Amino acid sequence: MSAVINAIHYCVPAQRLTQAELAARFGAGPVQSIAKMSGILERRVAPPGVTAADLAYGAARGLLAARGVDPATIDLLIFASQTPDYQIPATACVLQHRLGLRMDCAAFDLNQGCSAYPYTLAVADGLIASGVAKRALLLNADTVTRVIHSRDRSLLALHGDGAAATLLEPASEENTGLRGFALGSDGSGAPYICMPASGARQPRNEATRREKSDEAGNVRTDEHLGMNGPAVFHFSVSRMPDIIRGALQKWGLTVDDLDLVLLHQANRMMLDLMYKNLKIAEEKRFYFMETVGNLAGASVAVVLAEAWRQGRLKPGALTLLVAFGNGLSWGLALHRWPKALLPPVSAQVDYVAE
Amino acid sequence: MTPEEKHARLQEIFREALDLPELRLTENFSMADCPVWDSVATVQIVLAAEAAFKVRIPTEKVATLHRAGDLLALLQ
Repeated sequence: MSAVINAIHYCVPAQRLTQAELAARFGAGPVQSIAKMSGILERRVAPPGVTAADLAYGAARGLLAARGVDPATIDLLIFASQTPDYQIPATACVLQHRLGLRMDCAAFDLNQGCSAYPYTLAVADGLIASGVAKRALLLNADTVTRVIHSRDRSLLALHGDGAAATLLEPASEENTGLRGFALGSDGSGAPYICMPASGARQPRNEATRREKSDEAGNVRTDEHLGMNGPAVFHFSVSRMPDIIRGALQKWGLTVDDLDLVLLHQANRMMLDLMYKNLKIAEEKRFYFMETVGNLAGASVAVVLAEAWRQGRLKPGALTLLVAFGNGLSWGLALHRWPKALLPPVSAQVDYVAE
Repeated sequence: MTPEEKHARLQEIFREALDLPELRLTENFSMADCPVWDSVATVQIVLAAEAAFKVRIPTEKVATLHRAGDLLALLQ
């Protein structure tokens, strides 16, 4: 038995980082140059004290209230993030208590970056199929802006903070819900998106706090997130289309069978090149990055939620979710919507502290 | 395409990506010499070179691309 996405909701901070603010800090030229390629004109940024777990809590509370779901019926909670509240313990356990979930609810963290959503769905789908869980709440959240140096324009201009909550349950209609997954990784590209002094491999010390600049003048330390932008962009546009074609072939499908293709919202030009390479028709494309930024691990879940809110999901339609990012890592999830498709969660998306 | 023709075509690509119409491209021309050569420009240059020369440049080479000579060497 496969599992079906019965509700999804997202939460972003109300605070915005505008083009004007970035231009004042870095100059208009470089900021415009990045925006021309990324298509990102505004980012939502969590204020001090608000964490990815807080945004996830906001998304979960909104979803549970809007759907009238009793928290006591949730028996699986996965918190997927690379910006958790703690290294120890798992943030999912803290959220289990905070959300008022049962003590026999399985709760654990999943450490994955921008590719997190298909991984989260695949794990939960497997636990539901094996009978371990019946009703899963999946929380995909990141506050990546918190780990970017304030003078690193290349990353600040791209990223925002956000979270999504997904309700996954056994499908009641045949041949609906999650129909396939393709997960993969290429660790040779691990250095391309990396926060070097963020764990046991490189303990933090005076040297890791030292600021350094790249050729373009972006400043960071080894305690901040760094990205080799050209390498990541090149991997995405040159490898991901082949990976997607391979998965479709394995499933006996072509792009013509898909009704909607949602890609990780990293960069508008990157997505356009991928869509074009795959010959995905305009009406099967959807974008949601211009006003929120690249939301890292929450990105694909949030773009799915927004597509639902904007009426882009149709009963019986087939949606392909494609995520890729640090690791390097990628994941695809194929989902067919039930004929009795529920309306979207229409609760507010701006974070309000509780 | 001769090495001279490749150089000329790559010079056009650099001129367009960096918006420097008078640029005389040398092997030693690097990001360090040119404030407008940022990561966005690197992406534009690589994609344009792949299309113009009908090659796929390995991602690990893109990751370390800092001077024009690196790219010219890959295209020979």
